[in-house]
Amino acid sequence: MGTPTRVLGLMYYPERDPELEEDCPGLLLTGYTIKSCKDPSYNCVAFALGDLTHYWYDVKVRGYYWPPGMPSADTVEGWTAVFAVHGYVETEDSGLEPDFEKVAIYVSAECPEHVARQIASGAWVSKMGKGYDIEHPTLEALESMRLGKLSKVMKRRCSGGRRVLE
Amino acid sequence: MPLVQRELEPRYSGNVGREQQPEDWFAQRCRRTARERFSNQSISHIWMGTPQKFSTQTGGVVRQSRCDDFWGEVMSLQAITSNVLETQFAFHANRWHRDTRHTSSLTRMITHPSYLRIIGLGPDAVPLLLRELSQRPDHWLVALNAITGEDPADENATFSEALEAWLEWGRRRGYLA
Repeated sequence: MGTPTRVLGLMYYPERDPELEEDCPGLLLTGYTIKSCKDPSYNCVAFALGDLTHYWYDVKVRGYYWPPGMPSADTVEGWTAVFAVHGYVETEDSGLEPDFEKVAIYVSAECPEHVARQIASGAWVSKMGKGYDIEHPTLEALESMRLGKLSKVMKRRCSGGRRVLE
Repeated sequence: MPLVQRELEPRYSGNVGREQQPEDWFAQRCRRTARERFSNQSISHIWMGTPQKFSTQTGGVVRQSRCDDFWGEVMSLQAITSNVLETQFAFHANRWHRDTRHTSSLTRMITHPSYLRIIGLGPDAVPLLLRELSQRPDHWLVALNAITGEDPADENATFSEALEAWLEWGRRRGYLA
């Protein structure tokens, strides 16, 4: 536990985050790894698409980004359309396919809450709201009151054999 | 109207029976002081007109009194008022942080009751919002925009650029050192 620390140029992140475990108790069962500092400047949609500079949401105040012409960010259709524009198609299979990168969208009460991205090992990474980036071994670990339930999985072929941010 | 009066007035006209909030504590303190000064047990409203005139309402009757001594006491209460505002702001900011810490939904963030309460504090909250933004960057841009009507960032600014634009806006207006 604690806060991120830099030692000899290397960042050391806390091993646990009690607030995260409170909001997503499933993480206590599966374990997870904190991979970044807390950062409110990008969100899970941005992170899933490899953008660490923008907060993707449609609001009429400068400092936020949402692709023009897309349905509202408050709808599953909006999130699905944004990933579709970036080459993703829906799939039933959340397992690892080496040539494809996948994202998983969580929904609660018809509203999209979160999206996780699969990495080459088959594990998943998530930007937790305004908080940490984490790696978690399963999608179910994030299902909770806060983030809702896993609703959709989408995939696209890895560009040049590489996944975003890898 | 002198500046100090204008700043005091909204908090000084406390209405009996509202939800108990730090602001009401200030109003209660003023009413108690008024009762002590003017031996009036049922004051429902108090207003400060000028430093020399102090109005109280009992039922439907509004009375004006000279209040040189009372004004001195109000001046000391003003120092407490700013702490009350900060306390109220901190309470709602912390509650908002706790409740929205892992949400990505900006709609959920900006419709949270505490976020709306902070917007409801109005222009008095702007320096506190800017200070909070400089110390603990978070999604206060919508609140600042709602209160001030300004949007100082460039059209395609990232969140970090917009945040810096707001801080610079605050420095130019003397809200931040």
